Amino acid sequence: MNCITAKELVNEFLDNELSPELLQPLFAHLADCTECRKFLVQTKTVHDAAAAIRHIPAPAELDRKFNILGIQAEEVPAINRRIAVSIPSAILSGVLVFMISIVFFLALHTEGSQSTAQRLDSPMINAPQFSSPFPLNRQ
Amino acid sequence: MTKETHNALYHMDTLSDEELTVQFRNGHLNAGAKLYTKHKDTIYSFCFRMVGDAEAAKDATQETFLKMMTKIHSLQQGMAFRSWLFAIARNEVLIVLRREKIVPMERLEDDEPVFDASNPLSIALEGELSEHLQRAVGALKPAYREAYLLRETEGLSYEEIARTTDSTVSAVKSKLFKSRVALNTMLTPYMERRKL
Repeated sequence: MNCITAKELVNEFLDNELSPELLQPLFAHLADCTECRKFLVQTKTVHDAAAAIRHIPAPAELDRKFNILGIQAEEVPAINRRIAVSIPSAILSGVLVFMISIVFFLALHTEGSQSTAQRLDSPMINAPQFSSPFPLNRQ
Repeated sequence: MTKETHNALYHMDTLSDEELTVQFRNGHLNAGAKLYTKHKDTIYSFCFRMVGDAEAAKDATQETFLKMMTKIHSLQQGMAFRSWLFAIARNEVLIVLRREKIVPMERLEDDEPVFDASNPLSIALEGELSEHLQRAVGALKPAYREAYLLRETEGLSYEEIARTTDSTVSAVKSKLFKSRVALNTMLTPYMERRKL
């Protein structure tokens, strides 16, 4: 194996694309060739540095353009979705509780007035108008 | 909407690109939005590193996703979505490079230099290697740069790069090899100084 072939195979080796049957001849060459070993070390160093290259965030303006087209570019995260659902629910629950409280208050108030009126008219206020079968002897 | 579709959309975060593509084809815009959100930074980074200009990269990215939406039906069943999307982005990059009168990618001779000597690249002897590497990658000729970026920053296989760039696996191997030799040459002074 000559050095050019070996360096090409180093390339494939670093990319995990080298055929297994070529691994042994490549390593045999690397064991004997200082230049190719140096190439492997340098290329591996650069290859590792490439892994640190990050993606550049796309400008927010792009999202806005896609939003106009009806595509909601930024999905609402799950936690926000929960909040989005719970806020209207909380408002609705509050309104319901308030309405139920008013209904109860009015019902109680009306009932209270009626019972007072009923009490005023009630025969129970006066002495019971019934005759006992066993009249007391009040002497 | 069927119950199955509803469930699939509800669990969209767990869907693969291919599953999202099927949903999008069936008219679910949310699936298209998810594909956009998943790949926008990747495509923008690729476009930016290829054309070297934020505004042009933004336009190329926008065109890429507009074409994704309008041509989603042309994506054949079983074809990798990512390779297909990169192929669209590459075409948009080519349009920009042609407009800017940069050397066309198709015309590449074996003896042509891999990097542009006129590009003012001065590798400083300080800082992180990855920073210098990014500048060195920027000095590679577009055809080599795209192969290198698709492999090293996007992790595409040789086969996928060949499909994306409408090339052959052996041509991809050759471009990657030459790119790495050129990058080693450009970065050697820095690495020797830093004893890397």
